[in-house]
Amino acid sequence: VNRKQVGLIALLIILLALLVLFPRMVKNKTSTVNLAILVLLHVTLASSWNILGGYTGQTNLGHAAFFGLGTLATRLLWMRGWSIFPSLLAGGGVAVALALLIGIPAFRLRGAYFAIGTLALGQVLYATVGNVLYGAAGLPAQYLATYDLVPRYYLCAALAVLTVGTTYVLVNSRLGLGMMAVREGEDAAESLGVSALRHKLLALCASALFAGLAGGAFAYYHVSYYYQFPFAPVWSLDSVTMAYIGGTGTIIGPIIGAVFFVVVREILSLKLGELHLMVFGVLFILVVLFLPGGIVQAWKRVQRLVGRRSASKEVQAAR
Amino acid sequence: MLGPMVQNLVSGVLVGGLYGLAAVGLSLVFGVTKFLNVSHGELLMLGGYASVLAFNSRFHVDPFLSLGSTIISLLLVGIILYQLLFARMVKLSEEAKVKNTMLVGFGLSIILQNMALSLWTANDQGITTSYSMRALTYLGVRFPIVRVASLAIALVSLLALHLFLRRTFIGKAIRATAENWEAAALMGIDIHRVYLVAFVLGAAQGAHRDGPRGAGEHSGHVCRWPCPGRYGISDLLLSRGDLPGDCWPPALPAGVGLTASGPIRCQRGVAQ
Repeated sequence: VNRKQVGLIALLIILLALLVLFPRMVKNKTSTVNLAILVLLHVTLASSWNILGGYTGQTNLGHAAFFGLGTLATRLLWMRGWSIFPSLLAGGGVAVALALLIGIPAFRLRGAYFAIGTLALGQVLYATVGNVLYGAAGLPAQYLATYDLVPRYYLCAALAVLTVGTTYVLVNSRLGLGMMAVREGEDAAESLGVSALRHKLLALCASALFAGLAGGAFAYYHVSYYYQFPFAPVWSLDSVTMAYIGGTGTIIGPIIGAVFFVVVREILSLKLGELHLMVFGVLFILVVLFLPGGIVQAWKRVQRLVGRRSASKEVQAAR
Repeated sequence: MLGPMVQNLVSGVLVGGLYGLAAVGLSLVFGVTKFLNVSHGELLMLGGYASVLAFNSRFHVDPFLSLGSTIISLLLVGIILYQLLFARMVKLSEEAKVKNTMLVGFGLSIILQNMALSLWTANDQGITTSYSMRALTYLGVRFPIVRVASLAIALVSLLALHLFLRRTFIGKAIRATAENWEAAALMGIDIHRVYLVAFVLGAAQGAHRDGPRGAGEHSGHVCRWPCPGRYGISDLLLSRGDLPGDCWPPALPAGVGLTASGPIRCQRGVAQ
């Protein structure tokens, strides 16, 4: 263990302690904790998208389908009197089931077909849920009487840590190396005995599991929403946007992207209303065209520039 | 029993033909340039709004008459989008090109949808002309005039596109580029120009389709803004973009698919 690693671990412990102590430290409790919950939910969404989109190279344009299905299963079971943890697990399980159902046929095709298929899947579920379960999912009075924001916060925090932690462990394992090999070249990976289908399916299932769990947390957190709402295309767009803004295929990228995205969105939606979506559309296009590695890539460029400059100064000083 | 079924079949064919036309535009773009433009549906929406705006203006231009200006405005939109965004991605490898254009199109569709929302509100817009409600009756089956006329225009424009691709020099260049852009470039074909023409033609096909369609929906759900996404996707799924030289194949499955799904939607009256 070298010095840098010790520093990193210390930083991680401090961050985790901050995350745990956060609800006790803030003054304006309700609104700040609400914002923190939103940020953590989005970290989970972006990181879960990143497992498949960033590390395995399969663009999922219908992440909302998994998220929405998670909300639906969790909310319905929880309202039936199940306690929240089994309901949450059911939400994640249903999302994984959908992932298997979609993934096995879709991954036999290559290229853009998976992206188009998931885009359509999101729209289909959005329209179907809107037609079948119209109306709002409000909480009954006895649930409202015991409603407390703090456990919701801890659930979302735990989920975010779990998602990022799992991603870290996964990408540093043999399976993760296989996933990245598939991203870089399916044929090359297959020729080395890496099953592209199996790795893509695994990544999709992990991605869907955390999206479904995030949906469950959303269903636990939100007092009243339309059943259709978590299926809205905007959730898919947000996941992709956050991952790209932060930097796909990195651990830290989706976290930075999510924090940046939620904070900027809150500011913009105060000032611009619905127009803030246009701003993110433009930002997304700019990132895809000019900075495909997102903020992480920009940071590395700056670092390299600074490093080069200080290096050249040293050379000059030596002369 | 047989009456309603035949009626539904006719309605399905009439709508399906229009979907087919949209698929042709998309298939042309994808086949030649490998640009996966997922915002194609939003371009159709712009075509629809162009004719709504012309009709609601002081001059009350009939949607069939404003078709020319609608096509020209969509041509301009196509040129702008190509020069601004898509031209940058021409030289990428095919896989990267499909992925990046798809992502850019995804962002573009959000921008266009929200632009339409803020400019023209989320309300349904319709064009009601004196002939909107009229229909021809043949053997007890009704053929709404607007739908029939739209389909006729769609077929004429398909034929025109077919002749353009088969008989003109630039059409030949487009087909060559679709087969292999590097070989085409070596033969002295200006790839950028071919891509531009194909992209813009694809965009303008949308104008044909949604422009006159406005007149048909007398009850007024022409430009429901969430729809374009759906058009785009269903078109994408139906047109495989395999045969850009021949514009007929993608139109056929689209038409047949909608013929089948049309009646179901009519009967259940399900929105979206």
